[in-house]
Amino acid sequence: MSAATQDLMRLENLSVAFPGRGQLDGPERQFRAVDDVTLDIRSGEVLGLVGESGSGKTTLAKALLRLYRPSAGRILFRGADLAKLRERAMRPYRRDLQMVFQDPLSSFNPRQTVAQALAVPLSLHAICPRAEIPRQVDAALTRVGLSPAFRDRFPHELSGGQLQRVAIGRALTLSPSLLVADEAVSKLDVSVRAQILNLLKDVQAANTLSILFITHDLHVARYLCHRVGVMYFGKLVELGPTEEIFTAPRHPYTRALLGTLDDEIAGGDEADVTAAPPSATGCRYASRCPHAAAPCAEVHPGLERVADGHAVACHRWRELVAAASWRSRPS
Amino acid sequence: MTAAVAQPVLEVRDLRTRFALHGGDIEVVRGVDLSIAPSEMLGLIGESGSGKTVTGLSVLRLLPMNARVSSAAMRFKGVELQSLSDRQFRALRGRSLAMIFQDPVGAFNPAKRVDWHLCEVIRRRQGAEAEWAAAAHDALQALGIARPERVLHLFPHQLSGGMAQRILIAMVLALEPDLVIADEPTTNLDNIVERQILGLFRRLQSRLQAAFLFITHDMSVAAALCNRIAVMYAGQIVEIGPTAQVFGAPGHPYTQGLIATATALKGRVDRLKEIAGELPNLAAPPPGCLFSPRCAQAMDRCRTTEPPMFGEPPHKVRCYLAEPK
Repeated sequence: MSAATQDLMRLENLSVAFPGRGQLDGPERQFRAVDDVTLDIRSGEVLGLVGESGSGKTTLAKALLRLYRPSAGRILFRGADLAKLRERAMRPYRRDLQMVFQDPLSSFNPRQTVAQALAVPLSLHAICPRAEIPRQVDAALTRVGLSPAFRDRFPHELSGGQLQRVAIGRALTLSPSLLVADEAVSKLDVSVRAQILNLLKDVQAANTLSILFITHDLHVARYLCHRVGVMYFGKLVELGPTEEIFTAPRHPYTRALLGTLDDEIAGGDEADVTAAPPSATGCRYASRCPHAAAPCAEVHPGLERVADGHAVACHRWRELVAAASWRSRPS
Repeated sequence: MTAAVAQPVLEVRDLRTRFALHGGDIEVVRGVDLSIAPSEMLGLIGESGSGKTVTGLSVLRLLPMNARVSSAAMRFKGVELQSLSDRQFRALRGRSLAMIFQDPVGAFNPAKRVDWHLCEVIRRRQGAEAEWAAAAHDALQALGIARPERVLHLFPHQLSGGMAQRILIAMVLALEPDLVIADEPTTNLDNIVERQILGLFRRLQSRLQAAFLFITHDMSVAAALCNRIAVMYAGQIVEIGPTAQVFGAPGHPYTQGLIATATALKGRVDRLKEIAGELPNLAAPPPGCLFSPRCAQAMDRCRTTEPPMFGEPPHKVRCYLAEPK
């Protein structure tokens, strides 16, 4: 990774808004699922996005694939701003941007065999002559550790792990430069999860692929990712090299997330269950943050540089690091 | 082990569940023995497809029509469940026998508010309608929900996953059941909420008399909550014992593999250990030990003869490696 610092894609002030998700009986207002996120994805890296459900990880990913239209901001990729492109102009870029979804069974047509499913992207993008397709399909299966015998099976005849392999194989048939994996292992159990994580690691290394890896499982993020971004209520609150995020987190929310890694199950912090929804103006995390102070209620902090490649969005991070209670976590 | 002293809440002997399919029968649960003592939490772990959920549903008679459940014994507080008619069984289920499902939101009626759901449950044990609302309020408060009145008037879709699961737990506990079967109750929740719900279970466990069968594929969850662990593979229990022994000194190669993969993620490793291969096809199970095709330590006889359970009662292992010399 160290050498690969070239940007593959850059998101600038990206926002995705949906209409009318306020209080049930309140006035209609926009809900910003992704709010002013600036982020670069480097060539050949695995970038992790972590955060609890509802933090906007999936929306961000779908926006950069243009499955959602961003409401503001830019998506810079190969000299173009994908955010502005019309659907037709977007098409040539699609083969470079592929996605693997959480639920493998629902991402296949139940009436198509594995071979048919794998042939779709090949013929849609005219990757190879028609006669060549069966060979490419077999190659795609072999690449993800499946025997070509699987070509005539239907999705329901495969286990979750096998199907997820096919899904990864299908995404790779187009030799994309960015693969978005949205909770691609969270529905799999431990033994199968290990197989798929190792597979992702292998294909990433073999194809110098960039992967945007969305997960709520921090162990998984640590295993696979070079850098990790932490999202909270639509905001990117911390971004940095994986080991730094895990050993020297700067944002109180990152620390809270990492706290859940520690083995003992605490009596349970009930505070956030009934916490007020994040304020629209101040720091999104202020209502749950044990360190919230006056400035936090005023404005959401911008990302500040902590160290090389490590940034945090917190008004008080300097004070907090200096405080005695804020120790570095053991690695 | 207190299990030997008190009469078990649930005792199952040689449970077998078959599904009739077009291609013939598949036996998905293949001779499971279980017993759970009062206020004990038994963790049932294993990968998906290993038969954990079907085991739970078999006990609760919640399987589809093409399922055939048989067992040598299935006693609930000494009563043989198999002798009960469906009508008699319904009187037990949703009262003394309760289940918590994986998808909390799907367990609610989307057209009804939270208070309606709670009252549906409370009316089963409390006569006076005037008291239902107060009881619903108390049930939520008991789970640490600060201002229940705020939540009681919400519809299920307005609840977060964690809140929905809390309310579901409140409903189950309002029944004051003797046995709760919880099927992956925290799998759909994210880390922070999961930890809260597990903390909740842990606090309830000490307060309640109920026995829990806690089904999960997450070993850290099982380790944190359960007194005993049963490891399931391909429809059989391959290892059972007190939590500390199963996780501290696993006897079955499958348990060892599961623990190795689960703990590998906790540290910093370059490569995760895998258990190679997949669950066997139970329509045509391999001869001998069902795990032998994936087992690195398999011997000749493992491929021909199925091993019985070896070991002294609290900790038993279905593997020839555990055979006393």
